[in-house]
Amino acid sequence: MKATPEIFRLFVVGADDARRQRYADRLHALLPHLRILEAETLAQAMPGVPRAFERTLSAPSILLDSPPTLPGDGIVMPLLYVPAGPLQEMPAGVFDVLPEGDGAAEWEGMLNASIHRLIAYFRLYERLQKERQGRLAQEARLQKYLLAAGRNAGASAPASPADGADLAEAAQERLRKAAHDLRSPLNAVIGYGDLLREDLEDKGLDDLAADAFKIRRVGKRLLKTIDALVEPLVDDGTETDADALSGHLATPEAPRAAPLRPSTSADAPAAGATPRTATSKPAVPDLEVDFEAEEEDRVTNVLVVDDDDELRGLMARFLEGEGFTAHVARNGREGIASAREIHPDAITLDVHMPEMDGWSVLDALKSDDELASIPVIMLTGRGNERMAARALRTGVDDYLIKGDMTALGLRRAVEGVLEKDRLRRQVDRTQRALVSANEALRGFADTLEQRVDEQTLQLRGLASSLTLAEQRERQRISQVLHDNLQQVLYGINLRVHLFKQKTTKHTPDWDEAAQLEELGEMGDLLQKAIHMTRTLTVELSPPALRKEGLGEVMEWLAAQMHNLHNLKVDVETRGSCRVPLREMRVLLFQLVRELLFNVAKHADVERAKVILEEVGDDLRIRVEDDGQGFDVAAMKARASTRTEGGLGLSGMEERLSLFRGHLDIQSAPGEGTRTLIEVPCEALGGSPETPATQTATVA
Amino acid sequence: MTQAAARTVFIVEDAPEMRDAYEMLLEMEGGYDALGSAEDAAQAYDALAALAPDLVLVDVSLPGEDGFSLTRRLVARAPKLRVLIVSGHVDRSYVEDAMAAGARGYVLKSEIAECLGEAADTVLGGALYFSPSVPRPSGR
Repeated sequence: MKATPEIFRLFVVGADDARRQRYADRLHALLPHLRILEAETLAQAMPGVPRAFERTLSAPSILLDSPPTLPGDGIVMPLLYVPAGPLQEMPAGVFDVLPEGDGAAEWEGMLNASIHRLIAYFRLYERLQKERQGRLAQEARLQKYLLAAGRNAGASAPASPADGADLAEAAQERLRKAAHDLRSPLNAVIGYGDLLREDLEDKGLDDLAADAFKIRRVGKRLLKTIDALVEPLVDDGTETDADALSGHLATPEAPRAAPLRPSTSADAPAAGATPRTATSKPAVPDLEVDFEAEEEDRVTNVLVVDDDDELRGLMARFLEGEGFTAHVARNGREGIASAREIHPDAITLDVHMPEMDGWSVLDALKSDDELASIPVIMLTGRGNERMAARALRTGVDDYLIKGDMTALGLRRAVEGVLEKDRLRRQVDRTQRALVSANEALRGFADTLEQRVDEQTLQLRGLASSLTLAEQRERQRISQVLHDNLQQVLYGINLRVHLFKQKTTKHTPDWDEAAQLEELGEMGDLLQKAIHMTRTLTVELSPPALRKEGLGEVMEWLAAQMHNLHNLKVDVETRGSCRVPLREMRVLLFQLVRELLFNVAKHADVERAKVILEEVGDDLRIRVEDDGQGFDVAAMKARASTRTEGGLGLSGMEERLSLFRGHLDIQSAPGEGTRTLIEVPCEALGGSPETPATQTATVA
Repeated sequence: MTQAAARTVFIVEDAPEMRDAYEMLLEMEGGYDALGSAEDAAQAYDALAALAPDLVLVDVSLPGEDGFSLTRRLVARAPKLRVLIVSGHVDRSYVEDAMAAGARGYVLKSEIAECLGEAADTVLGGALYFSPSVPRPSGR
């Protein structure tokens, strides 16, 4: 275990000062390359993080007190829990547990290994937390956005203070002035156009009069466009009620704001005039909420249904004069037919009509899905206000009293219902957007939750398989130490004792020659002991693993396989096959060793082949033999319960998958075995100058 | 058991250098004569059919049949036979197994240089012997 250039921090958390101090000292001695920090509580190990993420540990920690019951965010904390007494049950949300130790070398070894696992896990933990924080931030952003959207739908809510308020103010001012400068000459054009029309009508030149009328119409439309641009500002009440029933006058006027253009459209060219929508729409990626897109210059069709020829004509003229496109129908039936045909934006409907009265027409309209949403203005006679009230209760949007009919009144009514309709549709859209955004959010949260669960599960499994594998390896080493090395050392010890006894007691024949002979034999025994330790050391950490080239590692492994198991392994290396990340190198080494070990033990062949090659930037390893082959599933089950030492194959496969690598074994009884290991380039460790990825290697 | 004549011992141990060392030690410490030795259980069982040593030294870890099993068989055949177990294991369960098999003492290999003479004398004197670091078997 070498110290790495990276300084890793490690918290020791516990309320008992003496115990904490003891652990801190011990860790400091054991792991001098780590920065050991002390904290009395877990909260102190989570400093300087935003409230929302306050449960984020800033470094892997060793917890000496029983862990608090942590509200599950689904992410196991990088905690190594060392209980003071016997452990009753495995606490939730804790990565690993180690029994209180006596400081013996064996225990320190376990502590060391646990800490390295903990540090390795911490990297994943950080990534999981980052993902979670990203999700929370996105939620917050979406929440804000939805709030803003809801406000816009309400339209009457105060404008939110925009950052560029001053800028918007200035733009508004400029626009206000421009609108004013335009409106005056335009009103003159309209007025003169009207005068011209009247003169022409008087002279019976109706064709020309119609053209003059067009001047007025187009002028009115233009006026509306200007009004829409400065919509929120024109509400100054400087309106002249000169448009009387006769409809003959067209005095210069400042019409009340009655935007046909959606005031909340974010694409409005006059961004300065509608600052609250233009600036309050935050960018939320992935969640498309399209609020508005009514065509600006489209014609507004109004259908007039009235049996009174004169009134019908008058209303049509009023509407045309106000820039609408009027359509007429002489009775209810005609009205419904024409509504189906042209899908008007609004309908005016006379209550009193022969044959089919206004109520029947209304019923027919409202029960037709295609037409139900068209706003309807009912026309009633004077003194029928009660009926008007009834109309409003039964889905009519507005009413007009026939006797009070003016061009302005009609225009206001039509624009009023259109605006109401637009708002209603916008609210619908907003609601729909809210619902779908909510669903998307929920789906997103579910997916993330599920992924975190899966990863946690995978990690737990991995942690336990690592622990098991480590236990097996310990057992094997213990056996080697006891059966071989200790026996030799006992022997030497005994002979030293005898040497002393014989010398002090002046045993006969214990002359110089006998002593030299005995010393020689003791020397031989010492040599034997040294050889054993050397073999063990090499087995535990192959020296070839220090090199980045996987080829050398495999050559070394091949030699080992030949010496220990009499298996001849041909290694073929295509390309440099460098694996700078030591952790991955060790894993691949262990994997191939396990595979070759299986060949030696079960395949009943003398040869095997290991091929290393680079495919693009990825690494591919093939291990092949022409031996007996086996049932893959059965072998995996056997491998996971093996006790010979090393990591179980399934554990290694799992670990490989954490690096997005994978393992594929193809075999059948009597057909040899072909194993393919694939590792993506990012898991190989990229450049060797990234020490951040090279810690926590348990070799 | 207090005969003045040289007392006899039989050694069961698979490592030859250890066999020799035990022999030398017993001779120097307590004036024991080695009647013979064996390197596995089967060899020892056969040889001891014809021999009657005062003490049998049995290593726990033998190739094939282990020292406990051999002790059990030897004591079953000759209940008066005194068997001293030699072992590298400090674990209590080993000690208990040894005593259950009929051994009269348990000596750790790490302590054998200092204790073997005393152990042999104690066991031959009729008492049980455990070298200093050996955990005492429960129930005794």
